[in-house]
Amino acid sequence: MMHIFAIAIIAVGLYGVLFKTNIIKKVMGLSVMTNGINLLLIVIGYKPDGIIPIISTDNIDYFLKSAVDPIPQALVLTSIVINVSVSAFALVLCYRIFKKFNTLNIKKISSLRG
Amino acid sequence: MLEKTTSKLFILFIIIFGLNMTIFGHLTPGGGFQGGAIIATGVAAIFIVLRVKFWNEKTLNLMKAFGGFGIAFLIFFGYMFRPFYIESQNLHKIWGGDYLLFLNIFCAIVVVSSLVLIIYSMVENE
Amino acid sequence: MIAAYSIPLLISTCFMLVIFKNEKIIKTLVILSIFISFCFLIVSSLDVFNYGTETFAVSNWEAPFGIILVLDKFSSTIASLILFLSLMIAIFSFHIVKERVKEFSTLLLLGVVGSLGIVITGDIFNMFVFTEIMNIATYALTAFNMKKEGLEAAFKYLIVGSITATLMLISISLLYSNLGTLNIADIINKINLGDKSVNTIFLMFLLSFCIKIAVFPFYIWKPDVITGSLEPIAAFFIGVVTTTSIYVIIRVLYTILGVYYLPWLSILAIFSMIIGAFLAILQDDIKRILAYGSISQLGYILLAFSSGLVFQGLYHLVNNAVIETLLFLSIGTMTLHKNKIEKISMYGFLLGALSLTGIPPLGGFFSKFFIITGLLENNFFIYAVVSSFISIITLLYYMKIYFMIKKGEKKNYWPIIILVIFVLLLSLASIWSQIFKGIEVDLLARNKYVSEVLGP
Repeated sequence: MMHIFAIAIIAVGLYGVLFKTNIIKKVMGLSVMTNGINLLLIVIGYKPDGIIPIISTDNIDYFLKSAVDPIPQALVLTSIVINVSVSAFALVLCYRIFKKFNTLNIKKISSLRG
Repeated sequence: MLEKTTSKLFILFIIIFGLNMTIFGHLTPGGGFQGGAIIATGVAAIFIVLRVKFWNEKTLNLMKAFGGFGIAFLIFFGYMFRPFYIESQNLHKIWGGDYLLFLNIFCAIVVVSSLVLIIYSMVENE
Repeated sequence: MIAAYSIPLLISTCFMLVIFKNEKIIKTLVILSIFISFCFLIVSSLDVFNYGTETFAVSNWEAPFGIILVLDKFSSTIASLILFLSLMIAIFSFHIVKERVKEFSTLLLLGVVGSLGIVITGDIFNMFVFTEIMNIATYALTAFNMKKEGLEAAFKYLIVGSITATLMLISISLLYSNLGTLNIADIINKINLGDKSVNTIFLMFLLSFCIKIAVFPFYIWKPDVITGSLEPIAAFFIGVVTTTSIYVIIRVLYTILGVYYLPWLSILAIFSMIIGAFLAILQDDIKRILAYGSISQLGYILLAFSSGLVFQGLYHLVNNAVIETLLFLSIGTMTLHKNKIEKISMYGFLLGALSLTGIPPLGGFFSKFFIITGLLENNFFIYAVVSSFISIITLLYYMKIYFMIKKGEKKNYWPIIILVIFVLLLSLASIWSQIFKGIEVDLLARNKYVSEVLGP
């Protein structure tokens, strides 16, 4: 059930990247899309009635049976860092494009032809 | 006017919250990168709202170098600095991880200086 | 082997952190670091060719639970090729880039580290991380000259690259949810090819890399990006980035899935061959013609690999990477001498263009000849006829460039001389086909890969 919500968020972000003509709205769509993919990763490791994967009791069997999977959480940490860097770079690039072209519309930024 | 008085109230809270998130990174969700991002938000709020440059650009470059070399030092020689081995009474306190505390702190220093440098270069001409 | 890719990483982080005042130190450090890691990698690959594959477990975490770096014959050849080409590009680019040298060298070293990491690793999520590192470095390098074309090209490449990276991450997460492991050798153990969901996941993974190399329906972004960037960066694109993406496609198809014939990929390759060649004749700008030409040559390589002709495809891959680098670097001397190409690079351009069209006795003739005879042996008659027709059209657009450029005076640029000698060495077809046949035997043996990584 939660998987469908995560993929719906990715789809909304993809719509924003492809169909909007303002470049800052494209970068915002990219940010929404990366949030959706992080949510999908965490939902994959979910167990109903789960506890956090840090050893806090001495009962190893109960811990192994009901702990949530920690590997997707490590993958999400890496993914968040990468996406923050890409978004920061994209915003600085938008600022430079505005200074050169004086417009934010992607249909008017076309100096390469052919 | 309103933003200056309200921000004076809660910027200190933001920075303390970020420090809490980095130091207990081995017990709660968080760690170096997340706590560093929160502290950078607080420092950026000081710069944008109160118009005070808290750290100079030269200071930020030195902080970044210090944090980076600290992490490199811990990667290669960190195995020698393990006096805080895990005893059962230390398990849920600050010295619970071996040298994760220092890795988190250096990572937060690097992240704060990089993000604040990005914000300084985007907002030019006061 | 681990020294080979930690050294450029350390040096580039030194550049980011410490303030250097002297530019000569930066240039010598960059060239020295790439050269030292190239030497380490050559020594490791000679070990691999004599004794078998080498593995290295990062931080001593063992096989299916940790990250393993694997050097077998295929990865070590591609890794040596990447480091050799980036060494030539790094030496040449310091003639063109005069200001902001520190930032340029940081980004170039990060790009080299990223592409080397993709080739060496044996873990799928590690491949994603290094792909992102290489992507971010090339986004920034495309926009480096801060002119109108560079900024627009960088923005287009950023949008396309982020979409492909997101697709790759979705397929990795669904694969982990299905199989439970992230190690490539462990995936080969646990995979069950009749399952429809696994087939869809790998189709999505292949689709993201097909967008990245710009085959037929997804090629629109590539000529803009190559026209808008500086010439050494365009050479880095086609020589290094495209080669690592083809490496990933071959690794997924041949080692993980065990599939040697893919009809839909051959159809896409044929169309990209035709459309690349015909669109290249119509252009007016030199770099745009070369960009469409590279799309056409990519069609040959993918056609060979998706019809089961492995060593022919490898030979053409190496030919394409080295010769396209030579072409872009020789066009790059045009910015230094004010619209006249320097004398030795003019002859180098002619040599490379003739080799890629398939004039005997140069290297490109042998690789295209092997591909066409291999296609005829496997009864793909239409593909063979179309390939030979397109190589005639290839001659047309390379001669169009040759008549547009003028000859200048003579100056010795070392990278171009070394690349010309290497192109002449590539025409010794008997030696190269022996080497590539040895690699082919290694690629077609899936179970050997698993037993060498995970232990008996």
